[in-house]
Amino acid sequence: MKGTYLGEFEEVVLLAVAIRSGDAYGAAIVNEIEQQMNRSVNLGAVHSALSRLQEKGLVSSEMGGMTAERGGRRKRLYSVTAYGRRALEEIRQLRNQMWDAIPNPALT
Amino acid sequence: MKPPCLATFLLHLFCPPHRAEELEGDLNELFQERIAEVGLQNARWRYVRDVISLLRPSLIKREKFEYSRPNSITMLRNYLKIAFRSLAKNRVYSLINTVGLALGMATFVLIAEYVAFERSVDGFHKNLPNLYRVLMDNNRQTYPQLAPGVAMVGKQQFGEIQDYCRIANGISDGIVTWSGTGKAAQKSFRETSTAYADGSFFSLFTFPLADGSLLSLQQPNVVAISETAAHKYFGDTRPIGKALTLNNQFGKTAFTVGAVYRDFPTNSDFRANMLFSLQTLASPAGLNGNDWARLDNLESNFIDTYLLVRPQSDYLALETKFNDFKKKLKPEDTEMIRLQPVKNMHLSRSLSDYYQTNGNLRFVYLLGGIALLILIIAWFNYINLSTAGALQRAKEVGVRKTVGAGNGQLITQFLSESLLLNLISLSLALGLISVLQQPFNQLTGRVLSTDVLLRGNFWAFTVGFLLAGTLLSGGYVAFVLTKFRPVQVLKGAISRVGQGVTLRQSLVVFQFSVSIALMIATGVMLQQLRHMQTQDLSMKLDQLLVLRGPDVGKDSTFKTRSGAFRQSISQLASVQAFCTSGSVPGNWYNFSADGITRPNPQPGDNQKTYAVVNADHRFLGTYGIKLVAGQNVTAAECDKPWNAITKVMINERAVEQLGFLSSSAAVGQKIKWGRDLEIVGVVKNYHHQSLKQAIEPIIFIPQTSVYYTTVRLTTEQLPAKIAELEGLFNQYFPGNPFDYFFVDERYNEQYKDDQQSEQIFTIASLLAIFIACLGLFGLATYMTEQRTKEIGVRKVLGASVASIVTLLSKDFLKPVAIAIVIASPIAWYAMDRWLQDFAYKIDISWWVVGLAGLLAVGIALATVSFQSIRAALMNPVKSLRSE
Repeated sequence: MKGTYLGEFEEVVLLAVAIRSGDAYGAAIVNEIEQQMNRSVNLGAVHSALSRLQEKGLVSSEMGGMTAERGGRRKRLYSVTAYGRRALEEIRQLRNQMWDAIPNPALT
Repeated sequence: MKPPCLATFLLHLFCPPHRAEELEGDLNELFQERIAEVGLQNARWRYVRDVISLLRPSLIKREKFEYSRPNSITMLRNYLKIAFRSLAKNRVYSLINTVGLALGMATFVLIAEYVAFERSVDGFHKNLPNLYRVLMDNNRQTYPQLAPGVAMVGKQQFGEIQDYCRIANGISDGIVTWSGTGKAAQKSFRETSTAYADGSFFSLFTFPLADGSLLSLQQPNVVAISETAAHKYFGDTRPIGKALTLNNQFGKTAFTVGAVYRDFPTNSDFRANMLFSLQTLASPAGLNGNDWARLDNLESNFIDTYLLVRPQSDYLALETKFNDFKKKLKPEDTEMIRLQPVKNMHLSRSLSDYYQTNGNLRFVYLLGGIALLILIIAWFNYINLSTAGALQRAKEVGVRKTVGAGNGQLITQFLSESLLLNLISLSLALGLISVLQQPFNQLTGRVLSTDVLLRGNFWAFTVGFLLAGTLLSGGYVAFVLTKFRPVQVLKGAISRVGQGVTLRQSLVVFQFSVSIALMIATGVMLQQLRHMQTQDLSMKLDQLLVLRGPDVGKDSTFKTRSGAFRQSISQLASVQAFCTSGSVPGNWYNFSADGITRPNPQPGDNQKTYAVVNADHRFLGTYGIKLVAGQNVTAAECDKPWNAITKVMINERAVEQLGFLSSSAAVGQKIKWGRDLEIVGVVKNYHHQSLKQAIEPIIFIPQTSVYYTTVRLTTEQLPAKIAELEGLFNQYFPGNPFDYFFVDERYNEQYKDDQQSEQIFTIASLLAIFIACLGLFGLATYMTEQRTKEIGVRKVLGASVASIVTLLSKDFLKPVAIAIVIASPIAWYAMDRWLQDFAYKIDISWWVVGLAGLLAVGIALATVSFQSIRAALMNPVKSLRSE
């Protein structure tokens, strides 16, 4: 489907939301990606990717409760929807399928 | 540690409010972490980078609202819906408002047309800013007839004068003949609207030509004719180059058609079907012995003179130069030359009776004022009815305010309601105008249409005016309604009596003041008109028929033919009496002259002017004018040539002005007018002109004239008798058209203007009182509706119908009574000023004022009592059970 095509960065963000499930919000995702991939990420890029994912229905969001650490500002917590999870699995399957199709000699 | 505040500010500036919190939280959290990781400087740097990265379109997008948010169009639609509903709910009041406003607007637009037309007269000339008319001012009046030499001398002397045009109105009038060629028969008409004009006419004034050359009038014996005249004489053939013959006081002259002009527009004071070239009179042959009309003479005043002045010249300075020069030329002459801008010509007051269709500045503005007042009366109805009905809308306003409507929105709502009503009324008014245009044109004697208004910015003015009216009429109601406090209104704690009682009453006072003042004015005008028409004129004008004399065929046999014509008239059985004269009552005199004195004159006597009338010995008898002393002139005296006359009659005013002790003392005395003339009889004062003018001193010169023949006929079978006269006329004066009029009709035409204004005032006062009563009726309906319960209780307690009617009517009679007190002195003063224009005027009698007041009270009472009687007769059981 055309609408559900996931870009590379979107896929990374979606995976990060899945990793941090239950506590996935903008800053946490930035940290997660920076740690996992060891590269610096812009907050804007992350938020933009999150809102695109939400438009596609791959993640859902709700405002979290008050917290003390952010000067009392609330977080928007993201979670992967069932559709999002299926999309991730599909991608993984596709990758695996392609890995399996590689003839062994080529890798050696 | 705090993040860079400029970046935070930037974030808040661009981010939608619903995202700002989480984003700022994320930024802050990362910032704090990074201080520890990479140091403050780098953390700040990353913070700024992150903020900038957040400013991307997908994140700046505003949140979609779940519910539809009403925009201003939706609200307007709601206002309109509510407006239509409330109009439909209060049908009576809506009807009263729209009918009143439509009438007011129609009146206003029609009268605005008239005012715009009057102001546009003669305004279309391209040279207008530099065109002036030359006038003579003899300290008593100004007159436009000048000696023809004045313009020529002026142009030689003063460089400011670029060109001039002289127009001799009327002196060219006569009979024009086209001796057709081939099958076409000879066509001959009496032309009464012609002039001699200089060749510069069509270059000075902007009158477009249909055919021919602009400069053709520079040649002698050339005529320019209007399209109408062209059609009359030549039908469909091309008139240029055709020959016309003119028979007038200058004899028989041949002319060639040199130009055909489009008929002069109706908004022009110039009226001429034919313009003969003035240069025709430059040759002795053209003058034919009439030396008084020599074009270079400076003595005889008969010609209108217009000057085209070079741009940017000071015309007042030119006027002074003119007068200085004239003083050098004729030191004894005290008359002054005045230059009048042509743009002021039509509505100037000093010459109000010179042109046949002259407007009157004061009257035009007065009419405009009345139209405005009528419109204001209609607007006041709206204010009155809507404030009285404001209580009904109070709940609505309360709910609107509670839900969150601001004052601005409420004001918009009520103004749009008033605009809606004004627009409905306007469309109704436009319908009314299209129906009433014809009758109105007949009334004013003008060719008017809304086109006049579309010229220039007048239409914009009217629209702006309408909007202003909407604001005015709707503004107060909007203000009152927005003032309501929602809590009180919704609790029902607001008083039931209604607010703005004083305001409503003062508006009613104003409406009735205007109506009563107009009624008084109408009454006084009617009385004055009746006074003038029923006054004893000291002569009998009925059954008098006047034949205009012949112009064609004044040859050697003319005198005998005229004598024979008179002889045969006297033998007709139907003719009771007849006479000939040079002027008939209702027209001006033959001419006026000064230099007539007693043999031993006092200083200043020779400056006094006398009117001169040529009449034969039958004049007094035919017109029923009495002699008070002496005797009539004899037939033999009347047949003498002009300079052999030795005996005259004078009227009583002339006796006074000449300084004789009494009429009988004047008889037999001599007066000096170049030579001695003996007074043989004194004629009783009679009104030769309308009662607007005072009786002037008249000198009657005994002359058998061919100009007018007056015949007193017996009443029966008039057409047959006129046919008989026509037969005789054609027998003795072949080739002359038979023209006649009745003296009494012509005499009464002098009052046409006054009748016109009287009619306009009657209509205006009827309209004013009608619209005011509409409003009163609406108010009465509201008030009785609100007091239904009270009336019920009163009736139960034993009040009589009469006492309740009195109770209800009293409130409405008070403002009417105050209006009478205000209007009467104003109207009295204004009408007293108006009457100053009449030489013979009535005193305003108190009963006219009383009658107007009584009428106003009566009409108001009748209007109100319709409602109050209905309320009083209502069964109290019903009214108390209601609600």
